Amino acid sequence: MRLFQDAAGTLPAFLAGHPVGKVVRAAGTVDAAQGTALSRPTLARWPKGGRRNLVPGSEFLSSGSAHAGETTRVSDAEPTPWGTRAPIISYAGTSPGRYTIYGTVDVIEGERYSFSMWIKLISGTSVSVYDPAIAGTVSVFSQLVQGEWVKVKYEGRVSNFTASRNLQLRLSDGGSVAVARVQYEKAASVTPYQEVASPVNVTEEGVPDIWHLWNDGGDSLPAVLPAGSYEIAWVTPLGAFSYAAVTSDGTAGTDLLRAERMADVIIRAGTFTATEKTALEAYWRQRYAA
Amino acid sequence: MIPVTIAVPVALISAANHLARVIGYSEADGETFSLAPVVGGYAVASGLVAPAFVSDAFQPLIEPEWGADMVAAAEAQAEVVLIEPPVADDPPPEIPEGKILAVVGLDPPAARALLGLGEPLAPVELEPEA
Repeated sequence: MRLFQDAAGTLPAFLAGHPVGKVVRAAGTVDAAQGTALSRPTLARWPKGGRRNLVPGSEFLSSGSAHAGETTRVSDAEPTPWGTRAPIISYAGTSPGRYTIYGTVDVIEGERYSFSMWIKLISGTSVSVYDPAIAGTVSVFSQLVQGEWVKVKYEGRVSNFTASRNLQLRLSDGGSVAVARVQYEKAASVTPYQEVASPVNVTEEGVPDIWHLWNDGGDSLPAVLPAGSYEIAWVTPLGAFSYAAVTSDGTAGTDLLRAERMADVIIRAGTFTATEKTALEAYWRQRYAA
Repeated sequence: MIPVTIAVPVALISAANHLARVIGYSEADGETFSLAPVVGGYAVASGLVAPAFVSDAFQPLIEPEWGADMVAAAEAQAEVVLIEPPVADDPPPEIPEGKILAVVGLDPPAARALLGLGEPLAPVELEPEA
């Protein structure tokens, strides 16, 4: 399929985060279009197997601080071993500083979560992370050598339930640290890093990208089908496929956006035969399932 | 493109549609809030727009080439309130009742949560201790 940001099909959609206002068929006779801007799905990509890193941005540190004026953040300040540049957080106060590592992440009571990040101690003696959802866990990383990048982590079960909360990075007075590759996941132990440039743009080194359309609520892609009966087949980016029978009066649009996240969709006049379904499902399993 | 979430009280959907028709990209944007799902008494629409879409909502309105009810659009414009996300440790913002609420820069689930329109988490059974 070819994707466009506008319903007229003049502006291609090719980056994660682009709205999709028109889908031009790869084969067949029908295209889908959405003229209302806020009803267009968003082009997204996740690694094959899905998104594990729950942070809204893995290289992002929000600017919150309990000691305004004493904590500073300088973006793109420190080279990393991966060819990127990490921000440096510095604290110049006399009581334990706080700096929110990332924005809200929803957690579920009773479930296990794991946290990891890479840090480089620039000055000071220790760095700690306060996680209010895991019974106030404060993981203190004091065996740090200035000037070295190290990966730190902790794992635990959510027992102090809140629907969402912010982790806090705490520095010793006079402390300064570069931070990169933050990952927070619902898992008993840490897994390979996924870069979250944004919630619609998640990648993992060595893992294929699965491009798909994301319906953030109320989005649709209507296609006007000739009058008759059809069957629609679609698959999610995790490889779950579904079917639905639809009838068109030849005038009203049929919505082809069938799931919150949809990687592919096929419409067939009449119904799919058992042989067709078997072949289609095998293809989609190979392409999308982990 | 920037993410924007707009929550319109059900009673203001018609007027808000006219405002969307004025500041939007085509006359099809006049259906924005009729197509949006209703959550907690608000029609909530989210999407990616050019920065001008947001700034135009607070500027004097200009009738588009496809026409619009400018009186209704102006009435809606007067009800628009920009809700700023709190800085880390600050308390959440107060949400005025009966207004058209706009959140810029947050992804839709976070924006809906900020407005108190997020979906509640499903309850889970605690695992037995290992």
